[in-house]
Amino acid sequence: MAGDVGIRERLVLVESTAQAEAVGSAAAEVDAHVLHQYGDSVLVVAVDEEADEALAERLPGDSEPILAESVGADVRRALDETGALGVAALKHRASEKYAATKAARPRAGDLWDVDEEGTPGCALLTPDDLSSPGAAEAAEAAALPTSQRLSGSVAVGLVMVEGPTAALRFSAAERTTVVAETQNGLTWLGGRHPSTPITWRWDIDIIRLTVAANAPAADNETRFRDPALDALGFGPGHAGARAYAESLRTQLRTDWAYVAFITKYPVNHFAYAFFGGPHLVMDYANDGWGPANIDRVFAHETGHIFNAPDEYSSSGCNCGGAFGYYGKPNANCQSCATGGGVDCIMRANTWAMCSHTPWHLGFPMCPSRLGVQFRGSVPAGSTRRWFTHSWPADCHVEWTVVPTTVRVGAPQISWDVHAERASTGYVTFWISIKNLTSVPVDIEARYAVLGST
Amino acid sequence: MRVGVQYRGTVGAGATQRVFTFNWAASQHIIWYVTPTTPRPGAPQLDWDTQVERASTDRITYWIIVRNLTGSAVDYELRYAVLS
Repeated sequence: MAGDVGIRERLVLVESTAQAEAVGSAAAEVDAHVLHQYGDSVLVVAVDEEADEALAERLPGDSEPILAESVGADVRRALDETGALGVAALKHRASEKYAATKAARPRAGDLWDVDEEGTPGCALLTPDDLSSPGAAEAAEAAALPTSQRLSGSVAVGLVMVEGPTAALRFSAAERTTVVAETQNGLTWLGGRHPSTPITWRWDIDIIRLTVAANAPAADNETRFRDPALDALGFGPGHAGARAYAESLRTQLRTDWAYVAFITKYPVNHFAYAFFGGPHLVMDYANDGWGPANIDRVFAHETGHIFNAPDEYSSSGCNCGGAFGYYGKPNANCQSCATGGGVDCIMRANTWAMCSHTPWHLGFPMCPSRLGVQFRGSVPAGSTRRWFTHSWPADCHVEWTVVPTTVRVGAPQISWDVHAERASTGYVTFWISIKNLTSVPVDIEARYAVLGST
Repeated sequence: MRVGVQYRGTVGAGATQRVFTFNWAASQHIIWYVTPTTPRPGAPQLDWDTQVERASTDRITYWIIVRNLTGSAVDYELRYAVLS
């Protein structure tokens, strides 16, 4: 088991994009799942021990699920930078040292605003916080969202921004720590899905700038963010970060994308995210929480990227509003929820998620199930119509109707289903039921949720 | 069981559209349904029916008839579930 998130992870090394896609298909056949992809060659797969052999039989070429520590130095040297860091991170997460660090995690369980003076909770920003966007940036704001919901596959552009002095640089061990912590955080976050797993595809860049830590700048973020984006081939500001995310989405063939800047440069706040994307910023030291909590802070900030609100009091939260893909209220807000709310990553330093955050994140909410939605009666020879609303739009739902009034010898009812897209996230079904007989018939309308896309 | 989206299209205001999808294994149990993707709250937007053609001893073609019940064009997804 790597890390402290309770998911068994194994490496699978491949030689091409086509093989990487074949691993995804093979994993799905044995109830395994590709959690992470680093570069073209390195996949981290969640697979139960009893499925190892079945997965190995289905993998392309000579691939097999292996431990990170079994990857030889010659193989590691042949990997690109992103792939090598992905392997090193998984190896580190499987180490006793990492387990000990997690067991002694500072401030475990504390509310994110437990010490508002010393370690205030994360900052949450919207594009309006930025100064005077130009015309191009304004046009970009209307483009397809880069992180509308947490579903399918997500490209993560992890940018470690270094400076010209030793104090602004990451050691090799610190780079591995950053990748291990972010890997641990997203393994956990993606694993909270109710029905459909998430795949994270990473692009990791280490950018070393010549900009001094106190160089004149509009603000602390601008000082390092814009030169880093320039080094990556993108323009400045929010628009540049969005363009980079869009490029990653195309290049890595994902549904969504965001960018994470992690640095030792002075920052506006130790950790913050732009609500709804496209980027977040974190200080390596991670304020009073320390590098050993980068994983949880990173998962929390990624929650903001995917539209989940803060739930601790000093954020100013209340139990209303309409957040995320499904437009749900912030009902676990500490200020107003019963008992101050329950444990949740958006509220405290914990590996827990309340029942509201999955809706805010926009996970596909379609675990397969059967049920009876309503019962009623249809008068003789007539048709009655019912509607049932607020079904998540990506749920595949099949409707059937059966009579509960016994009458032998001939069909009693027929039915027809119509669909209405009530909003972006929800569907209403209208079910017309016709009584084919000369006496009233009691019915029940049954549903089968078959899965989601 | 697996689910998926076979086709995305648009059906004009008050119009009926028929689409077909072929080469499905006859041994598979498949159901078809249609979901609008254009939000328009307040009333049903789409109705659909499924018709079936045995194209060969082992292959089936499904014909899906999609009816727009509204006065404006509706985008939709044709979804399927393979039950076995």
